[in-house]
Amino acid sequence: MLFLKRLIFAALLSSDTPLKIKDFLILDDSFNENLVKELLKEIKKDCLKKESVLDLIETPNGFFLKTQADLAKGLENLHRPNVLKLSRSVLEILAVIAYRQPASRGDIEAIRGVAVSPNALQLLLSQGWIKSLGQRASPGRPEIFGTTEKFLQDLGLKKLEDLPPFP
Amino acid sequence: MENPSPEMPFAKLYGEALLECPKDLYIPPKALSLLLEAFEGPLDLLLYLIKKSNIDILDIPMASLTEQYLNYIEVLEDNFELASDYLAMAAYLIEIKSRLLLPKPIKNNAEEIEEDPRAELARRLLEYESFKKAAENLNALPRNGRDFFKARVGFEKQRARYALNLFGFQNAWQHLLEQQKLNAAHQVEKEVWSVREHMHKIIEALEKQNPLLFSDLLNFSNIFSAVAYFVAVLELAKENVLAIEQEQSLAPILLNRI
Repeated sequence: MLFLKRLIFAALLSSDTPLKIKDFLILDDSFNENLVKELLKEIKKDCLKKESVLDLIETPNGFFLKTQADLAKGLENLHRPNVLKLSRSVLEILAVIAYRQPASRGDIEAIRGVAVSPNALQLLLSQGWIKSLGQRASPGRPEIFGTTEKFLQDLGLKKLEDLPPFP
Repeated sequence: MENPSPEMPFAKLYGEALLECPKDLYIPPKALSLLLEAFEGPLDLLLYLIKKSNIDILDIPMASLTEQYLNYIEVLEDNFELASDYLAMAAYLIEIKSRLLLPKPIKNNAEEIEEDPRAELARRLLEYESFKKAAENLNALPRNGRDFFKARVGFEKQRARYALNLFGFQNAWQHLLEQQKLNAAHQVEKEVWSVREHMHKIIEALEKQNPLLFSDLLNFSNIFSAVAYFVAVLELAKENVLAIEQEQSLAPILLNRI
């Protein structure tokens, strides 16, 4: 049992991408869905211990291990060059899309009272946090946007309902 | 802005007293324009003005708010990019103010409640304020690459390990030696067999012994030598140096010097 738990932990550690339950099943013949879920629960419990460096996170794309939030202060010095700074306007546009999706540029402009800069939308699109959901069947057929699974993954959330409640 | 009193020099420039404030000193237009760029738009600016003056958002004094707002956006006349959104809001504020001034129409139906013209503005301001807060909340969420990092370690392939004893070690050594034998290298040299050289040898042999048995020439331990002799004999016959003779079928072949 301990071996199987360690096997799952190692799979999580060595994978580049988040892993879904079915990805674990090929690790060992004795694995079934319930056993994997049980072991993941145990790993999560281990992660909650104070001395743990890692935390197990479930997102729509699967499970992955991340560094504990309280370590960020030191780690950000190491990773600072790669950290993407989001301006207030980008964050506000993201908030409108996240809480009012599907949202068009017009919806965003009506709420913020100011034109949406194409650069801000482009930044969110290239970050993979929003995507086009097609066109709304209304005059002008405006393009509508919604958040992606990567958005939830990057925030360590499982579903949209896990976002902070709308103020 | 207060003007300095005429008696007091405003400043000294090269020893001369400046009595008047240069018109463009206090408000460099770009500075206020930059200030406005710090706002995320007219609603953001209005929220700021409302907070600054401690105004109840549900009971906005339109005249004073509109005046403050217009003061701020005065500087925008040369910044068209920013101006349009701010001017649209200015027009909207003035429209609300003018609708407040209009006499209320006589109500036909007592149950019909007239909406305060400011209600729509208040609704928009409150909604925008909520989204401002939501944006801050989103920014505060732990984020991959900023507040946490996806764990990733290298995967090392497992290496087999054997317990080693003297016998095993000896075996391995023997095995290596045998392998070495199979791999022994040997040099191959290219040999040159010249037909002309063999023609000379045949003529020399014929000078000692005539006729000569063809089979005596051939040394079948070396196929290349045999081929060279055979071609040399044909060459010599062609040049009429010797004749190839045979008394009968399957009899020994004789080479005769002509």
